[in-house]
Amino acid sequence: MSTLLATATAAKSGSTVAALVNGASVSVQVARDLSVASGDVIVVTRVGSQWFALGRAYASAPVAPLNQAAPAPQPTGVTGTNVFGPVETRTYESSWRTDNTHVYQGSYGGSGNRTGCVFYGAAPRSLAGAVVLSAAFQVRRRAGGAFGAQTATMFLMTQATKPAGAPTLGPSTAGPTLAVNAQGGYIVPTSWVQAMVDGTAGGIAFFTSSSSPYMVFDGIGDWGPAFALTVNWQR
Amino acid sequence: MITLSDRATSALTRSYRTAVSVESWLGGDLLAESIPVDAASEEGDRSGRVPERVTLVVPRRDHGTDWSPGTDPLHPLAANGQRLHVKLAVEGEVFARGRFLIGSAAVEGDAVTVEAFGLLRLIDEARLISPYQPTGTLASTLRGLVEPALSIVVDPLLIDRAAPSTINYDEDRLGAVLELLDAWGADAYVTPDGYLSVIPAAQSTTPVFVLTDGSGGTVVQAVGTSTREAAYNVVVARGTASDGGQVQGTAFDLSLSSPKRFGGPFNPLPVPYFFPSPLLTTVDQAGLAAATVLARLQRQAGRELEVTCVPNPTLQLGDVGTVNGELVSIERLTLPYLPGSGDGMRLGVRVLA
Repeated sequence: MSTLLATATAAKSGSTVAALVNGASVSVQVARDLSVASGDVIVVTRVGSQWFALGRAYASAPVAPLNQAAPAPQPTGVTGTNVFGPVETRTYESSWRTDNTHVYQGSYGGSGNRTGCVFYGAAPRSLAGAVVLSAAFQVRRRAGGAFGAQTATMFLMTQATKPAGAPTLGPSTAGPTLAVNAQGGYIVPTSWVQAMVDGTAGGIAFFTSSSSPYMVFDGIGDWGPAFALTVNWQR
Repeated sequence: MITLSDRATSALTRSYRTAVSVESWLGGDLLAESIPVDAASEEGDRSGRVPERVTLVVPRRDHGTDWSPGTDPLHPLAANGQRLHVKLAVEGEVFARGRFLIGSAAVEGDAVTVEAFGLLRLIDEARLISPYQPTGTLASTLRGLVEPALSIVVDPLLIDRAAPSTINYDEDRLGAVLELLDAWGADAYVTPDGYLSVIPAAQSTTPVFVLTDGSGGTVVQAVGTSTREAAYNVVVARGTASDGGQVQGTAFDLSLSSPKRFGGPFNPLPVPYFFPSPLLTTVDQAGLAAATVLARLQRQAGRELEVTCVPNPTLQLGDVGTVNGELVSIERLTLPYLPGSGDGMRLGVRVLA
């Protein structure tokens, strides 16, 4: 593998020439006294992680064979899917509840109005620079409030980890509509997840200023996939 | 070390309740939200190219579900890209332990034994068919080598720089990643949340755990043999400047506490390790790379201790702590996820010089 034949795809320019090595176009260092024309077969040898052209082979440039292309080492227009689990799920009600990891919304029986929070930590930042195409999280409603389907109100939250005080809420939209014990995937606004990837937001909160409807969702201590966020992206 | 609340952390020093939760995902699809587990353990070896391995024993049938993958390519335990998300709980506090790629699932009687590997396996098996020639910086080169199989977070303390325009990598994709990290003065590990964290390679000296022989069920034994093999006291890193000139940086083991130090009784002459990389284009870069490689070689050659202790699921490979007052780093570990899945936690630690 350290010495093989390559095909120049252009004439030598400066000290390098573009050449096809194992089907990929790479920049090859050329011996100073060697002239290379496009189409020439050149003998290349590997020095560390660089290819060096040492000489030309064969009588003249061959007819380029119609080879079947190998897959590119890094495909252009990379797309991917990542699943980000929350690092914490907690509810704020004047202070942070510590008795469970449920995600509450609203007020029950005249108690305080609760803000359920889902924090995604640093993981979404691993896609920094990527464009989010779509995103959805897994959610399951547990007992609490009216049994029938209710619609939550969802906010983009600034913090990626639980703050000492109240969470900072941003824009809002209608959240999942679920009856007690129902579960499923719920689409999250692409711009929200893009904000998490860009580092300007860190999680999702459930809150309603009217304190109603009262809803409770499973948190990470109740259900493994709770609020696991599937993100489709491209770079 | 995985950080838990003070309440859960204090529970680790006595008898505590633990639980394991395993999900199966294929791409972005949830295949199974709770896989029943009879026994489970994790093994880690920092010297391996893919450090982590998890073994699960799953009942073949449970509550009407057949957990034998059979021929179903979308079965939660099939080895077609299915990833296991493993979460542990200490006194009810849940935390992610890791994400693992299913390597095999074999039926043995009434049980299915599942073997899964760390996500670097995806990089290790994806050898380069044709040369990969980077055109950007070290960070974008690293991203290009591992995405979309793995996403990365680069520590802002690492200074990114342009990758030389004429380098390219052949065949060994993971080897290219490891060479790039050495040349950058960086280290990397897959986090429990499943992304590659790239950090400066500086060895931490702040202990995050304390273990003492005879205390709390901890047993410490000295193991291994004393050998001259793979022991070096100077690293020479060489690269090529943009004009073709050879650049060189060196790092010497000068620690007076190091038994194999340069100029000491180990050998009055230097015992070198050579690290060539075309990513090194200046003397400063070569010097930093030499120091990074030397630190790793010193760690790998340190005196080895075998520790058996009460399972602490927050410990990870590379964590620094003290064992009988000596500063050590965890190089190997075996962690049973559940009581009865093994004989306590076993750590292979090396004393840091």
